[in-house]
This record gives sequence, C-alpha cells and structure tokens, in this order.
Amino acid sequence: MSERPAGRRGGRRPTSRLVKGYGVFGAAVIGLYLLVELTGWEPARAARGVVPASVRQSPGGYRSFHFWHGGFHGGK
Amino acid sequence: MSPVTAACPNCGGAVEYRYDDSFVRVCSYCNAVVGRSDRGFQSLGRMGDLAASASPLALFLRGRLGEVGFELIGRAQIAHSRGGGWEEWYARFDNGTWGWLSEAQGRFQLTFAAGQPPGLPPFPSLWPGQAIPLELAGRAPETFTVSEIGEATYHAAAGELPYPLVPGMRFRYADLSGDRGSSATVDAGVDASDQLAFYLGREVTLAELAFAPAADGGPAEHGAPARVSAVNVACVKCGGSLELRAPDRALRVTCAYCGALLDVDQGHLSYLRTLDPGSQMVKPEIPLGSTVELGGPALTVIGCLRRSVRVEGVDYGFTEYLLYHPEAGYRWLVDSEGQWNAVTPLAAGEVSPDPRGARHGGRSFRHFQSARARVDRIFGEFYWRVELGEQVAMADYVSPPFMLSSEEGEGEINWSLGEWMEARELSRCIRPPGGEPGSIALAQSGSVAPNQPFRHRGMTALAVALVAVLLVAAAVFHGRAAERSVDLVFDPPLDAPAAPVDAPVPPPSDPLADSIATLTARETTPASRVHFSQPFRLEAHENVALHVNTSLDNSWLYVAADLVNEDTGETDSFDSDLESYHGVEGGESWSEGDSDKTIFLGALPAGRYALRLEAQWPSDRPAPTLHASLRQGEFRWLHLVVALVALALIPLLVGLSRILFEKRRWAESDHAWSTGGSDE
Repeated sequence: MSERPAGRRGGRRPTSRLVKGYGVFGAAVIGLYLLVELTGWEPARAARGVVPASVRQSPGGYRSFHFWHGGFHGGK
Repeated sequence: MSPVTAACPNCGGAVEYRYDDSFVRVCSYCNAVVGRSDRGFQSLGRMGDLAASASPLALFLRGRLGEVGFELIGRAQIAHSRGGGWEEWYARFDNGTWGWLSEAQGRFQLTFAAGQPPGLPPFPSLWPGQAIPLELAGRAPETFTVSEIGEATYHAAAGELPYPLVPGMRFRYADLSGDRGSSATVDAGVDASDQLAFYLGREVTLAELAFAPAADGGPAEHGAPARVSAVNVACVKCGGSLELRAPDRALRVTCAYCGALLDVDQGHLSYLRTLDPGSQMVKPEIPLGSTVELGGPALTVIGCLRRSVRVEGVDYGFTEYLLYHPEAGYRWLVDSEGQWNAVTPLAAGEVSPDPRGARHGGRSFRHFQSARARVDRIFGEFYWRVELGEQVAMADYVSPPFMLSSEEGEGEINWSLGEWMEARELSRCIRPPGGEPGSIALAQSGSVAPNQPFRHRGMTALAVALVAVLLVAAAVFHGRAAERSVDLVFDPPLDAPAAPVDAPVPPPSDPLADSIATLTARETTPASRVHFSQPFRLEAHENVALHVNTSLDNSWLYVAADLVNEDTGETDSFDSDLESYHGVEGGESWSEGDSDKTIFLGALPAGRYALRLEAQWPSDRPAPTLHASLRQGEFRWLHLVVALVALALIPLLVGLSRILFEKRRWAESDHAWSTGGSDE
C-alpha cells in the first residue's frame, strides 16, 4: 500500500510567492544580523571631533581643562 | 502435453484444448460451450457473441508475473444484474496454476482460487462497507472491506475455461478489498445452500504483467470482438447524431438535440424518456468531447452530471464531469460552485477507519460532511444506468489538498480521492473540441473549499528554520562576547573637593598607573567633576558600551563622555542624563526615573584610547556616587529581539489569516467552528 495518497501530484503544491518572499526576507534579516554583529555596528553614533595638535602637544595634552567644553545640560 | 482437437458437437467445427486441465472450450464458430469428460465431448449450451470491447487484452497473449510466465487462454463477459458488467480473462500459468484476471473500468485484478479462510461470514450476512479481518494462510492478517455485493450472469465467453461454465448461469458475488493491497472475491450460487468460492489476489497493472504478442502468431480466434473506438449512432427519438465515446461500456446516453435519455445495450439505443428540456439547455462549462490531461493519458470528457445535496432545507449543487480513457479507466472532475477537484476512484480496502474519520495513504482524513446526493441533470454517456433523482449517501473526509468521499448505494460502496485544483491551473489542462488548451476560462470561487489547501503552507516550517538559524548565530555571538568583553571599572569620587575654576591642570604623573584623574569643577552650579581614565586598547569591529550606575536620591546626574584616540587625536563624544525621584502623594508612594544606564556606541577604529568623563549634578544636592565601566564586544540582546520580531511578524500575520481561513472552511461542514484541518 502506498504511504502517500494516490493523488495527481501526491499533494505537492507550488510554494506561494509570499512564502518565497518571506524566505528571502528572512535570509536578509539573518544576513543583516550577522553583519551588525560582526562589524559592531550600533544605531547610536558619537559626535566625532579632533583634539588639535597644539592641545595634544601642550602640557597635560588632551587632559587640559581648557580644551573641553562643558556646561549644564538639564535635569529637574 | 500436446493439444487435443475435437469436433464441436454442435457445429462440427474444430475445437482445440491446449491444456489438459481446461474443462470447457468455447467453439470459435458457433459459441457452443464444449465440455470434455470421460464420456467424451458434449455441448453445455451456446453463449452469446462477445460484445465489442476496448480491452487492450486478447486471447493467447503471453505475459509474465514475476518469474512465472502465463497465457490468456479463456475469456468471459459477465453482465451485472444492475446493468454493465466486466470481463474475466483466464490465465494459465507455466507452473500449472490458473489465475483470474478481471477487467473493469480500466482496472485489473489478478486473483487465484484459495481455500475459504476462517472468519469469513456466511454470504447472506455480508454488507457493503463491512470490515472483515481475515487470517490467510502464509500471509499477515489483513482486514478486508466489502465494496460490492451483486448478482451476475455469464453473457459470452471464448477460449478454454478451467470450470464447467454453463451458458446463462447466474451467480452471486461479493468484492472485497484489503487494507494491505489485496483484493478478493467471494462467489456463491444463487441459492443460499450453494457453496462459496474464495479468490484472493491483488490489483495489477498491464506493465506489471509484461504482455507480449503470442509466439504462435497471435490470436487466430474466429469471432474475436472488434476493438472499439468512438462510434456515431442516431438518436432513436429525433434522429440526431450521437457520438458514443466508450460504446463498449456505455449504458446510458442523453441526446443533445432532443434531451432524450437513452438506454444503451451493446451500442443499440432504446428510448427511455425525455428529460426536462429547460434544464438540458444549460450546457456544461466543459464541453463533452474535451480532453483533459492530469498527468496521465489524455482523458475524454464523456458525461456530465448535475447533482445536489440538501442541508437544512437548502440545496447545494455541484457538477461532476466523467472522464474516460480506455486504459486509464474513469476519472472525475468535480466543480462545487467554482471549487474544482480531480477525482480518482479508490478500492474500498485502501481506506481504513480513523478516530478522525478515515485514513488513506498514511494520511488521516477528518469527517467534513455527510448528506444524500441527488442527480438533477444528465448530459452525455455513463457506464451505469443513471437516472434523474437517483440518490446515494455521501460522506466527505478532508485532509487538504485531498478529500476522501464515499458514496453508498444499493449493494455497493465506492470510495474516491479528490485533489483540489485551482481553476486557472485546471483550465490549462483542458483542450475543448477544436480548441486550444487553456481556451476555457473556468470560474474560481472566492469561498474556501473543504479540501482547499492554505495558500501559504510551509510558512511555519520556514519561520522555525530561520529562527533556529538566528538563535544559533546569536548563541555563537553570545559566547564570543562573553570571551572578548573588557571591563574598565571607572569609579570616580564625585564628592572629592572641587578644584578652583580655571586652575592649572597638572598632568598625570603616570597615565598607565593613574586610572582616575580629578581635574576641576568649572562651575559651582551645577556641581561638576571631570575624570580621565588610564589609557586602554579598543579593538576594531566591536561595539563599545558604557555602563553608568549612580546613587541618585531625588536628584539628577548628567554624564558627558569622550573617547580620545591617543594615536590620532580623534574624539567621539556622547552623553546621557540620569534621574531618580520618589515621594509620597495622597498617601500613595511614587517613584520615577532610573539610576542605571548603558550607552552603546558603534565600533571605533582600533587603537589606544582614554575615556574622559564629566559629571554634573545639582549643586544643592550631595554629590552622588558614580560607577562607570566600559566594555567592548557586548552581546546585544536588542539586536536579537529586533531580528526575532522581524522574522516573526509575517508568520504571525499569516497564522492569523490561517485561523480565519480554517473558520471559513469548517463553517460549511457538519462541524462548524472547528479548526482541526491541517495541510502541513
């Protein structure tokens, strides 16, 4: 006795476009996840600046008080 | 062994017995059944002429079953008491055994005489659908299902037969079908006292029997029936030309011109009645004579029935197209208001009971609906004596895309397996007479068919596979992060005395050893402290996380941080606010804010870095403690959660759609609101 119904195609039907599309999407999600984890990418970016050479070469270097801006930023 | 030749007692023609153990020989000239015994040869009577047949078999064909050869040396045409009939071929095997090869509706059963098995009920107690477990000698126990019980008559015969065939002899039979692929027939005389004969075998294919033309030049049989193909006959009511596409098997045909229902007997027509002309004007959606290719030989549409079932006073109609091919036999196309099924007949033994309803081919089918079906309209030709108003008890069981259906009528139960088809797909399989495949646009209903598969099947399995891959990758990253994280504890004493504003900045005596440098507080309101860490190394391609923990008590803390690349002078600046408040209002205690925070930064170029940390807090509040630590390559749960949500969103929506789909499916069943169907 056959273990598969003797239908026209044994029940096999083509995969829908949505499922195929989801497969591609899922692979892309995993690929993106791998990329993010391998590169250490983060959505938050820091503000990039440069310590001038004059500051770096001065006594105390970048640890000099005068180079850094400060200020009150808020709070209750 | 040499052939024995004798003169026919009836006509004097030569009759030849090829085998010693054949009992009778049918005279090729006069159809007399010539029996031989110790007293010589005698006529047992005359048979009718063999009816024209589309059978692919012929007398004296040689075949082979496994290692044993055989020859078809006898043939009988047997008429069913309810109309129609079948053919039996007698196969003489080279090892001396006899086999019965029965042919009906394009299917072949090869059986051998067997002893009556213990447990076989008396013939009168058999009924269609009855399951009978039998212990058969030398075989595993097998449960047989009675598929048909009837009475038949030998109509015509040819060649040699291994038993004393008497022309016109009537007998009763019961066809059984086993759940392990066997088939059996119980024969009995018309009298209750007649002895039972039991034949056991199985369904075979022509390819399996490996037929080859007879070595002696093929059938030299006089009176052998002609092979038939479609024939044109005239309607006996109006004279219109009718095409019989299976004339050897047709028992009913309708006239497309006058609507007459005609009885067919060996190609001869007789008028029965005129069907309702109005209903006959509605022509089938698929024209008769169209060919349909469903993966095998091209089948011809030879008939069409319009049937209906009544459920709670409402009639639900469906249309059945009868397809035929001489070798493939009969198939059906069923149109249930725009939902299509390709249907193949099944042996009753191929279906077994199941807690859900029925079982076939390793699948469990769930009961969907039971009703009585009635024939409302008839078009074309049919292999049984179909009548308007004819009723059968139907039951449907579903396992998408399949549907098992049973039809129980007088003395028989028939099972069939339907497979749901999309109308557009089916259209491409149909070639109308004189047309091209796909030229008939079949309607597709927007409803959900009982066995319609969910369109997006496979989504769940795919989602599970993708999530599994993602979790494995995440586990690898998690383990890797645990190994590579660096922890730079940074615990500046914020309550240290503030240095005067614009005070000169002493350089660190030893940057490597001096992990914390208190520089200055530039203002007294708010209070502020700045600290520098000792240099440390950051690797490329790994994120940077600053964890800040404070002891705030109804206060706030502002933290500004700068990562200074000592090699290039580049700085990456970021900041964050922390606040924590609590109190009691109206007898209710409350709290808000958080005194812990983690700030993540993307990977920075590899190099030697120092961390500058500036903290500000209200000058009227005591200095909070601040514990900051910098880690690199921290595992990001957020990224994993985002990826999981992205992967799960579509399957969740599809799953919701699936629930609604199943509700619509089962709403039309005897089990409304159930969602037990599954096609995955």
